[in-house]
Amino acid sequence: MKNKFDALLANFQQWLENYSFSDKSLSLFRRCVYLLLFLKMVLLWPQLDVFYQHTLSRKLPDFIFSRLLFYPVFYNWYYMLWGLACSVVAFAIYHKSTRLLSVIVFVIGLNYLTLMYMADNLADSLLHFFIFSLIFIREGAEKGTPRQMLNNAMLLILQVQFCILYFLNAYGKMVIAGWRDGSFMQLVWRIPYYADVRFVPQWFLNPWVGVFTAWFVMLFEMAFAFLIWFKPVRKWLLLCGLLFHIGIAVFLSLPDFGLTMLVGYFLFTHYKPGHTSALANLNNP
Amino acid sequence: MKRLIALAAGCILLFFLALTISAMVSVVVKVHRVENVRLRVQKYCGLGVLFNRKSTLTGKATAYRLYKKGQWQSWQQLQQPLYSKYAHAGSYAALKHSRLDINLSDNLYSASKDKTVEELKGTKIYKEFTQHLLYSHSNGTAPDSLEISYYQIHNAPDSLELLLTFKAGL
Repeated sequence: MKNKFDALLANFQQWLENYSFSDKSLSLFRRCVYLLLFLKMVLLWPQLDVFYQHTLSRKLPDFIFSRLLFYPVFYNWYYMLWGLACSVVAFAIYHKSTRLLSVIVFVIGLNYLTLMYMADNLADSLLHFFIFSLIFIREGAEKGTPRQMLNNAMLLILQVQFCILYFLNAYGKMVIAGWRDGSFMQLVWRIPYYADVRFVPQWFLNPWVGVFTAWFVMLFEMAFAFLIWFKPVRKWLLLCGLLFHIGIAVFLSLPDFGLTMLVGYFLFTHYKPGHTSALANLNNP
Repeated sequence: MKRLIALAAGCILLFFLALTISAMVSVVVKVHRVENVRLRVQKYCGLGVLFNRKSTLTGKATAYRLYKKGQWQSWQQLQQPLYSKYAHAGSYAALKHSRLDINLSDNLYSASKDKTVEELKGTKIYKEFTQHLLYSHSNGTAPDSLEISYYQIHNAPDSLELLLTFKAGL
Protein backbone atom coordinates (compact mmCIF):
# COMPACT_ATOMS: atom_id res chain seq x y z
CA MET A 1 0.00 0.00 0.00
CA LYS A 2 2.82 2.37 0.98
CA ASN A 3 4.71 1.53 -2.22
CA LYS A 4 1.63 2.18 -4.31
CA PHE A 5 1.15 5.56 -2.63
CA ASP A 6 4.83 6.44 -3.18
CA ALA A 7 4.62 5.46 -6.84
CA LEU A 8 1.46 7.51 -7.29
CA LEU A 9 3.04 10.51 -5.60
CA ALA A 10 6.20 10.18 -7.69
CA ASN A 11 4.13 10.10 -10.88
CA PHE A 12 2.15 13.13 -9.81
CA GLN A 13 5.38 14.94 -8.92
CA GLN A 14 6.86 14.16 -12.34
CA TRP A 15 3.70 15.27 -14.04
CA LEU A 16 3.71 18.54 -12.09
CA GLU A 17 7.35 19.16 -13.01
CA ASN A 18 6.54 18.81 -16.70
CA TYR A 19 3.34 20.84 -16.58
CA SER A 20 3.96 23.82 -18.85
CA PHE A 21 3.08 27.44 -18.19
CA SER A 22 4.68 30.40 -19.86
CA ASP A 23 5.92 33.37 -17.91
CA LYS A 24 3.97 35.64 -20.23
CA SER A 25 0.68 33.98 -19.28
CA LEU A 26 1.56 34.26 -15.60
CA SER A 27 2.53 37.88 -15.92
CA LEU A 28 -0.66 38.75 -17.81
CA PHE A 29 -2.81 36.89 -15.30
CA ARG A 30 -1.15 38.64 -12.35
CA ARG A 31 -1.44 42.10 -13.89
CA CYS A 32 -5.10 41.59 -14.82
CA VAL A 33 -5.99 40.33 -11.33
CA TYR A 34 -4.31 43.33 -9.70
CA LEU A 35 -5.80 45.70 -12.27
CA LEU A 36 -9.27 44.43 -11.43
CA LEU A 37 -8.66 44.94 -7.70
CA PHE A 38 -7.33 48.41 -8.44
CA LEU A 39 -10.41 49.32 -10.51
CA LYS A 40 -12.77 48.07 -7.83
CA MET A 41 -10.97 50.09 -5.17
CA VAL A 42 -10.81 53.28 -7.21
CA LEU A 43 -14.41 53.07 -8.45
CA LEU A 44 -15.58 52.73 -4.86
CA TRP A 45 -14.12 56.12 -4.02
CA PRO A 46 -17.35 58.22 -4.41
CA GLN A 47 -19.08 56.22 -1.65
CA LEU A 48 -16.07 55.22 0.41
CA ASP A 49 -17.41 57.05 3.47
CA VAL A 50 -20.69 55.09 3.34
CA PHE A 51 -18.90 51.74 3.30
CA TYR A 52 -16.34 52.84 5.86
CA GLN A 53 -19.01 54.00 8.32
CA HIS A 54 -21.00 50.82 7.81
CA THR A 55 -17.90 48.70 8.45
CA LEU A 56 -17.20 50.58 11.68
CA SER A 57 -20.79 50.07 12.86
CA ARG A 58 -20.33 46.31 13.14
CA LYS A 59 -17.90 43.92 14.80
CA LEU A 60 -14.69 43.80 12.79
CA PRO A 61 -13.14 40.44 11.84
CA ASP A 62 -10.85 38.81 14.40
CA PHE A 63 -8.07 38.27 11.90
CA ILE A 64 -5.70 41.21 12.50
CA PHE A 65 -4.70 41.70 8.84
CA SER A 66 -8.35 42.00 7.77
CA ARG A 67 -8.84 45.19 9.77
CA LEU A 68 -5.55 47.04 9.41
CA LEU A 69 -7.21 50.01 7.69
CA PHE A 70 -9.93 50.27 10.32
CA TYR A 71 -7.97 51.03 13.47
CA PRO A 72 -9.25 54.08 15.41
CA VAL A 73 -6.02 55.94 14.72
CA PHE A 74 -6.93 55.98 11.03
CA TYR A 75 -10.55 57.20 11.45
CA ASN A 76 -9.79 60.67 10.14
CA TRP A 77 -7.38 59.51 7.49
CA TYR A 78 -9.24 56.76 5.71
CA TYR A 79 -9.48 58.57 2.37
CA MET A 80 -5.73 59.12 2.37
CA LEU A 81 -5.11 55.54 3.49
CA TRP A 82 -7.36 54.16 0.79
CA GLY A 83 -5.55 56.29 -1.77
CA LEU A 84 -2.25 54.89 -0.54
CA ALA A 85 -3.60 51.33 -0.78
CA CYS A 86 -4.74 52.05 -4.37
CA SER A 87 -1.25 53.35 -5.18
CA VAL A 88 0.37 50.18 -3.84
CA VAL A 89 -1.90 48.02 -5.98
CA ALA A 90 -1.17 50.23 -9.00
CA PHE A 91 2.56 49.82 -8.30
CA ALA A 92 2.10 46.03 -8.11
CA ILE A 93 0.50 46.04 -11.57
CA TYR A 94 3.62 47.46 -13.17
CA HIS A 95 6.36 46.21 -10.89
CA LYS A 96 8.04 42.83 -11.25
CA SER A 97 6.41 40.40 -8.86
CA THR A 98 7.97 39.80 -5.47
CA ARG A 99 6.67 37.70 -2.62
CA LEU A 100 6.49 40.72 -0.29
CA LEU A 101 4.50 42.79 -2.77
CA SER A 102 2.10 39.88 -3.34
CA VAL A 103 1.54 39.56 0.41
CA ILE A 104 0.92 43.31 0.76
CA VAL A 105 -1.64 43.24 -2.07
CA PHE A 106 -3.25 40.21 -0.41
CA VAL A 107 -3.60 42.16 2.87
CA ILE A 108 -5.09 45.12 0.97
CA GLY A 109 -7.50 42.67 -0.65
CA LEU A 110 -8.50 41.39 2.80
CA ASN A 111 -9.30 44.94 3.89
CA TYR A 112 -11.28 45.50 0.70
CA LEU A 113 -13.36 42.42 1.62
CA THR A 114 -13.87 43.77 5.15
CA LEU A 115 -15.06 47.05 3.68
CA MET A 116 -17.38 45.26 1.27
CA TYR A 117 -19.07 43.17 3.96
CA MET A 118 -22.68 42.50 2.87
CA ALA A 119 -22.06 44.23 -0.46
CA ASP A 120 -19.65 41.57 -1.71
CA ASN A 121 -20.49 38.79 -4.10
CA LEU A 122 -18.96 35.66 -5.64
CA ALA A 123 -16.71 37.83 -7.82
CA ASP A 124 -15.05 39.38 -4.78
CA SER A 125 -14.36 35.97 -3.20
CA LEU A 126 -13.04 34.56 -6.47
CA LEU A 127 -10.79 37.53 -7.11
CA HIS A 128 -9.46 37.28 -3.59
CA PHE A 129 -8.70 33.59 -4.03
CA PHE A 130 -6.71 34.54 -7.15
CA ILE A 131 -4.83 37.21 -5.16
CA PHE A 132 -4.04 34.70 -2.41
CA SER A 133 -2.76 32.17 -4.96
CA LEU A 134 -0.49 34.79 -6.52
CA ILE A 135 1.57 34.82 -3.31
CA PHE A 136 2.90 31.42 -4.35
CA ILE A 137 3.32 32.16 -8.05
CA ARG A 138 6.33 34.00 -9.43
CA GLU A 139 7.53 34.58 -12.95
CA GLY A 140 11.06 33.76 -14.00
CA ALA A 141 11.32 30.33 -12.37
CA GLU A 142 13.84 28.03 -14.00
CA LYS A 143 12.68 24.71 -15.37
CA GLY A 144 13.02 21.81 -12.97
CA THR A 145 13.37 23.96 -9.85
CA PRO A 146 11.01 23.70 -6.84
CA ARG A 147 9.94 27.28 -7.54
CA GLN A 148 8.69 26.35 -10.99
CA MET A 149 6.99 23.30 -9.55
CA LEU A 150 5.24 25.47 -6.96
CA ASN A 151 4.06 27.72 -9.82
CA ASN A 152 2.74 24.73 -11.70
CA ALA A 153 1.03 23.26 -8.64
CA MET A 154 -0.69 26.53 -7.77
CA LEU A 155 -1.80 27.17 -11.35
CA LEU A 156 -3.16 23.65 -11.64
CA ILE A 157 -5.12 24.20 -8.42
CA LEU A 158 -6.52 27.47 -9.81
CA GLN A 159 -7.50 25.80 -13.07
CA VAL A 160 -9.23 22.94 -11.25
CA GLN A 161 -10.98 25.37 -8.91
CA PHE A 162 -12.18 27.40 -11.90
CA CYS A 163 -13.56 24.24 -13.55
CA ILE A 164 -15.26 23.16 -10.31
CA LEU A 165 -16.96 26.57 -10.20
CA TYR A 166 -18.41 25.94 -13.67
CA PHE A 167 -19.31 22.35 -12.85
CA LEU A 168 -21.14 23.26 -9.61
CA ASN A 169 -23.05 26.00 -11.41
CA ALA A 170 -24.10 23.61 -14.17
CA TYR A 171 -25.00 20.82 -11.74
CA GLY A 172 -26.76 23.21 -9.33
CA LYS A 173 -29.00 24.36 -12.17
CA MET A 174 -29.57 21.00 -13.86
CA VAL A 175 -31.09 19.46 -10.72
CA ILE A 176 -33.74 22.19 -10.60
CA ALA A 177 -36.87 21.69 -12.67
CA GLY A 178 -37.27 25.46 -13.13
CA TRP A 179 -33.93 25.62 -14.94
CA ARG A 180 -34.62 22.55 -17.08
CA ASP A 181 -37.94 23.93 -18.35
CA GLY A 182 -36.56 27.44 -18.83
CA SER A 183 -38.94 29.18 -16.39
CA PHE A 184 -36.08 30.26 -14.07
CA MET A 185 -34.28 31.80 -17.03
CA GLN A 186 -37.32 33.99 -17.67
CA LEU A 187 -37.24 35.05 -14.00
CA VAL A 188 -33.54 35.94 -14.31
CA TRP A 189 -34.33 38.58 -16.94
CA ARG A 190 -36.77 40.23 -14.52
CA ILE A 191 -34.84 40.37 -11.25
CA PRO A 192 -35.21 43.93 -10.01
CA TYR A 193 -31.93 45.79 -9.49
CA TYR A 194 -30.08 43.09 -11.47
CA ALA A 195 -31.65 42.74 -14.93
CA ASP A 196 -31.11 45.98 -16.77
CA VAL A 197 -34.37 46.83 -18.55
CA ARG A 198 -32.54 49.09 -21.00
CA PHE A 199 -30.71 46.12 -22.47
CA VAL A 200 -33.00 43.12 -21.99
CA PRO A 201 -35.17 42.78 -25.14
CA GLN A 202 -38.77 41.60 -24.75
CA TRP A 203 -38.17 38.49 -26.87
CA PHE A 204 -35.81 37.21 -24.14
CA LEU A 205 -38.97 36.59 -22.10
CA ASN A 206 -40.39 34.19 -24.70
CA PRO A 207 -40.72 30.70 -23.12
CA TRP A 208 -38.87 28.99 -25.99
CA VAL A 209 -36.04 31.48 -25.81
CA GLY A 210 -35.98 30.79 -22.06
CA VAL A 211 -35.59 27.04 -22.60
CA PHE A 212 -32.88 27.55 -25.23
CA THR A 213 -30.93 30.06 -23.14
CA ALA A 214 -31.19 27.97 -19.95
CA TRP A 215 -29.85 24.87 -21.71
CA PHE A 216 -27.15 26.86 -23.46
CA VAL A 217 -25.98 28.17 -20.07
CA MET A 218 -26.06 24.74 -18.41
CA LEU A 219 -24.38 22.91 -21.29
CA PHE A 220 -21.73 25.58 -21.70
CA GLU A 221 -20.87 25.49 -17.99
CA MET A 222 -20.75 21.69 -17.94
CA ALA A 223 -18.72 21.54 -21.16
CA PHE A 224 -16.23 24.10 -19.88
CA ALA A 225 -15.51 22.08 -16.75
CA PHE A 226 -14.54 18.96 -18.73
CA LEU A 227 -13.58 20.00 -22.25
CA ILE A 228 -11.37 23.01 -21.56
CA TRP A 229 -8.49 20.57 -21.01
CA PHE A 230 -8.63 19.49 -24.67
CA LYS A 231 -6.80 21.63 -27.18
CA PRO A 232 -9.15 21.38 -30.19
CA VAL A 233 -12.19 22.80 -28.36
CA ARG A 234 -10.41 25.17 -25.98
CA LYS A 235 -10.54 28.17 -28.30
CA TRP A 236 -14.29 27.76 -28.94
CA LEU A 237 -15.10 27.37 -25.26
CA LEU A 238 -13.14 30.49 -24.40
CA LEU A 239 -14.88 32.44 -27.16
CA CYS A 240 -18.29 31.21 -25.96
CA GLY A 241 -17.30 32.12 -22.39
CA LEU A 242 -16.22 35.57 -23.50
CA LEU A 243 -19.67 36.26 -24.97
CA PHE A 244 -21.40 34.59 -22.01
CA HIS A 245 -19.65 36.71 -19.39
CA ILE A 246 -19.93 39.95 -21.35
CA GLY A 247 -23.66 39.14 -21.51
CA ILE A 248 -23.82 38.62 -17.74
CA ALA A 249 -21.91 41.84 -17.13
CA VAL A 250 -24.20 43.92 -19.37
CA PHE A 251 -27.63 42.32 -18.94
CA LEU A 252 -27.46 41.30 -15.28
CA SER A 253 -25.59 44.22 -13.71
CA LEU A 254 -22.74 41.99 -12.57
CA PRO A 255 -19.80 43.74 -14.22
CA ASP A 256 -17.27 42.63 -11.63
CA PHE A 257 -18.30 38.97 -11.86
CA GLY A 258 -18.06 38.98 -15.66
CA LEU A 259 -14.62 40.61 -15.59
CA THR A 260 -13.29 38.29 -12.85
CA MET A 261 -14.31 35.23 -14.82
CA LEU A 262 -12.71 36.64 -17.97
CA VAL A 263 -9.48 37.29 -16.08
CA GLY A 264 -9.60 33.63 -15.01
CA TYR A 265 -9.52 32.69 -18.70
CA PHE A 266 -5.86 33.72 -18.81
CA LEU A 267 -5.22 30.55 -16.82
CA PHE A 268 -6.16 28.59 -19.92
CA THR A 269 -4.36 30.63 -22.55
CA HIS A 270 -0.77 29.92 -23.52
CA TYR A 271 1.72 32.21 -25.15
CA LYS A 272 4.78 31.41 -27.15
CA PRO A 273 7.72 33.66 -26.31
CA GLY A 274 7.69 36.73 -28.52
CA HIS A 275 4.00 36.52 -29.40
CA THR A 276 1.49 39.08 -28.22
CA SER A 277 -1.89 37.86 -29.37
CA ALA A 278 -3.65 35.64 -26.85
CA LEU A 279 -6.27 34.35 -29.26
CA ALA A 280 -3.68 33.54 -31.90
CA ASN A 281 -1.93 31.22 -29.49
CA LEU A 282 -4.76 29.50 -27.71
CA ASN A 283 -3.92 26.25 -29.44
CA ASN A 284 -0.24 26.31 -28.68
CA PRO A 285 0.32 25.17 -25.11
CA MET B 1 11.00 19.80 -1.30
CA LYS B 2 9.50 18.76 -4.64
CA ARG B 3 7.85 15.75 -3.00
CA LEU B 4 6.36 18.04 -0.36
CA ILE B 5 4.92 20.37 -3.02
CA ALA B 6 3.43 17.40 -4.86
CA LEU B 7 1.93 16.08 -1.63
CA ALA B 8 0.43 19.46 -0.68
CA ALA B 9 -0.96 20.02 -4.19
CA GLY B 10 -2.42 16.49 -4.20
CA CYS B 11 -4.10 17.08 -0.83
CA ILE B 12 -5.63 20.37 -2.02
CA LEU B 13 -6.93 18.75 -5.21
CA LEU B 14 -8.44 15.90 -3.18
CA PHE B 15 -9.99 18.50 -0.87
CA PHE B 16 -11.58 20.19 -3.90
CA LEU B 17 -12.89 16.81 -5.02
CA ALA B 18 -14.43 16.19 -1.58
CA LEU B 19 -15.94 19.69 -1.62
CA THR B 20 -17.48 19.07 -5.04
CA ILE B 21 -18.94 15.73 -3.98
CA SER B 22 -20.34 17.19 -0.75
CA ALA B 23 -21.91 20.06 -2.73
CA MET B 24 -23.52 17.52 -5.07
CA VAL B 25 -24.76 15.36 -2.21
CA SER B 26 -26.13 18.39 -0.33
CA VAL B 27 -28.78 18.78 -3.03
CA VAL B 28 -30.28 15.48 -1.81
CA VAL B 29 -29.19 15.25 1.85
CA LYS B 30 -28.60 18.29 4.05
CA VAL B 31 -26.75 18.03 7.34
CA HIS B 32 -27.03 21.49 8.83
CA ARG B 33 -23.56 21.80 10.41
CA VAL B 34 -21.75 20.24 7.47
CA GLU B 35 -23.69 22.54 5.13
CA ASN B 36 -22.61 25.62 7.09
CA VAL B 37 -18.94 24.62 7.00
CA ARG B 38 -19.16 23.73 3.32
CA LEU B 39 -20.73 27.07 2.41
CA ARG B 40 -18.09 28.95 4.39
CA VAL B 41 -15.23 27.05 2.75
CA GLN B 42 -16.85 27.53 -0.65
CA LYS B 43 -17.04 31.26 -0.02
CA TYR B 44 -13.33 31.46 0.79
CA CYS B 45 -12.50 29.49 -2.35
CA GLY B 46 -14.74 31.67 -4.49
CA LEU B 47 -17.08 28.80 -5.29
CA GLY B 48 -20.84 29.14 -5.42
CA VAL B 49 -23.90 28.72 -7.59
CA LEU B 50 -25.63 31.73 -9.09
CA PHE B 51 -29.40 32.04 -9.46
CA ASN B 52 -30.21 28.46 -8.45
CA ARG B 53 -32.82 29.31 -5.81
CA LYS B 54 -36.18 30.87 -6.50
CA SER B 55 -35.66 33.28 -3.59
CA THR B 56 -32.64 34.77 -5.38
CA LEU B 57 -34.77 35.31 -8.47
CA THR B 58 -37.47 37.36 -6.76
CA GLY B 59 -36.97 41.05 -6.26
CA LYS B 60 -37.46 42.88 -3.01
CA ALA B 61 -37.85 46.60 -2.43
CA THR B 62 -37.60 48.75 0.68
CA ALA B 63 -39.34 52.06 1.26
CA TYR B 64 -38.84 54.32 4.26
CA ARG B 65 -39.98 57.65 5.58
CA LEU B 66 -38.62 59.72 8.43
CA TYR B 67 -40.36 61.77 11.09
CA LYS B 68 -38.53 65.06 11.45
CA LYS B 69 -39.51 68.43 12.91
CA GLY B 70 -42.99 67.27 13.86
CA GLN B 71 -44.03 65.81 10.52
CA TRP B 72 -43.62 62.73 8.39
CA GLN B 73 -41.56 63.26 5.29
CA SER B 74 -42.45 61.65 1.96
CA TRP B 75 -41.77 57.97 1.28
CA GLN B 76 -38.37 57.22 -0.23
CA GLN B 77 -37.18 54.15 -2.09
CA LEU B 78 -33.99 52.67 -0.65
CA GLN B 79 -32.46 50.76 -3.55
CA GLN B 80 -34.03 52.37 -6.64
CA PRO B 81 -32.11 55.71 -6.70
CA LEU B 82 -28.81 53.89 -6.27
CA TYR B 83 -29.52 51.33 -8.96
CA SER B 84 -30.65 54.12 -11.31
CA LYS B 85 -27.36 55.89 -10.65
CA TYR B 86 -25.52 52.75 -11.74
CA ALA B 87 -27.79 52.12 -14.73
CA HIS B 88 -27.64 55.69 -16.04
CA ALA B 89 -24.26 56.98 -14.88
CA GLY B 90 -22.36 53.69 -14.59
CA SER B 91 -21.50 54.28 -10.94
CA TYR B 92 -19.98 51.05 -9.61
CA ALA B 93 -20.00 52.47 -6.07
CA ALA B 94 -23.75 53.07 -6.31
CA LEU B 95 -24.27 49.49 -7.52
CA LYS B 96 -22.34 48.12 -4.54
CA HIS B 97 -24.24 50.44 -2.21
CA SER B 98 -27.55 49.17 -3.58
CA ARG B 99 -26.35 45.56 -2.98
CA LEU B 100 -25.54 46.53 0.60
CA ASP B 101 -29.03 48.01 1.06
CA ILE B 102 -30.66 44.91 -0.44
CA ASN B 103 -28.77 42.62 1.96
CA LEU B 104 -29.38 44.81 5.01
CA SER B 105 -33.13 44.93 4.26
CA ASP B 106 -33.22 41.20 3.62
CA ASN B 107 -31.48 40.51 6.94
CA LEU B 108 -33.90 42.79 8.75
CA TYR B 109 -36.85 40.95 7.23
CA SER B 110 -35.37 37.54 8.15
CA ALA B 111 -34.77 38.72 11.73
CA SER B 112 -38.31 40.11 12.02
CA LYS B 113 -40.00 36.80 11.21
CA ASP B 114 -40.00 35.48 14.78
CA LYS B 115 -39.78 38.75 16.72
CA THR B 116 -41.97 41.62 17.84
CA VAL B 117 -40.96 45.17 16.88
CA GLU B 118 -39.56 45.77 20.35
CA GLU B 119 -37.49 42.58 20.20
CA LEU B 120 -36.34 43.47 16.71
CA LYS B 121 -35.15 46.88 17.90
CA GLY B 122 -32.80 45.16 20.31
CA THR B 123 -31.00 43.19 17.62
CA LYS B 124 -27.64 44.00 16.02
CA ILE B 125 -29.21 43.66 12.59
CA TYR B 126 -31.71 46.45 13.34
CA LYS B 127 -28.95 48.71 14.68
CA GLU B 128 -26.78 48.00 11.64
CA PHE B 129 -29.69 48.79 9.33
CA THR B 130 -30.75 52.02 11.06
CA GLN B 131 -27.20 53.31 11.50
CA HIS B 132 -26.58 52.81 7.80
CA LEU B 133 -29.92 54.34 6.85
CA LEU B 134 -29.38 57.41 8.98
CA TYR B 135 -25.78 57.94 7.92
CA SER B 136 -26.15 57.50 4.20
CA HIS B 137 -29.82 58.23 3.44
CA SER B 138 -30.77 60.90 5.98
CA ASN B 139 -27.92 63.37 5.56
CA GLY B 140 -26.58 62.33 8.93
CA THR B 141 -29.34 64.06 10.88
CA ALA B 142 -31.24 61.76 13.20
CA PRO B 143 -35.05 61.76 12.83
CA ASP B 144 -37.42 61.23 15.77
CA SER B 145 -39.01 58.15 14.24
CA LEU B 146 -38.91 56.11 11.08
CA GLU B 147 -41.29 53.87 9.19
CA ILE B 148 -40.07 51.02 7.03
CA SER B 149 -41.95 48.90 4.50
CA TYR B 150 -40.44 45.91 2.78
CA TYR B 151 -42.07 44.46 -0.33
CA GLN B 152 -41.70 41.49 -2.62
CA ILE B 153 -42.04 42.38 -6.29
CA HIS B 154 -44.14 40.03 -8.41
CA ASN B 155 -43.80 40.05 -12.18
CA ALA B 156 -46.93 38.40 -13.45
CA PRO B 157 -49.07 40.34 -12.83
CA ASP B 158 -46.92 43.29 -11.81
CA SER B 159 -47.66 43.81 -8.13
CA LEU B 160 -46.12 44.38 -4.73
CA GLU B 161 -46.65 42.14 -1.73
CA LEU B 162 -46.05 43.75 1.66
CA LEU B 163 -43.77 41.52 3.73
CA LEU B 164 -42.84 43.79 6.63
CA THR B 165 -43.86 47.20 7.89
CA PHE B 166 -43.27 48.95 11.18
CA LYS B 167 -42.84 52.34 12.80
CA ALA B 168 -40.21 52.88 15.43
CA GLY B 169 -39.09 55.82 17.52
CA LEU B 170 -35.36 56.53 17.57
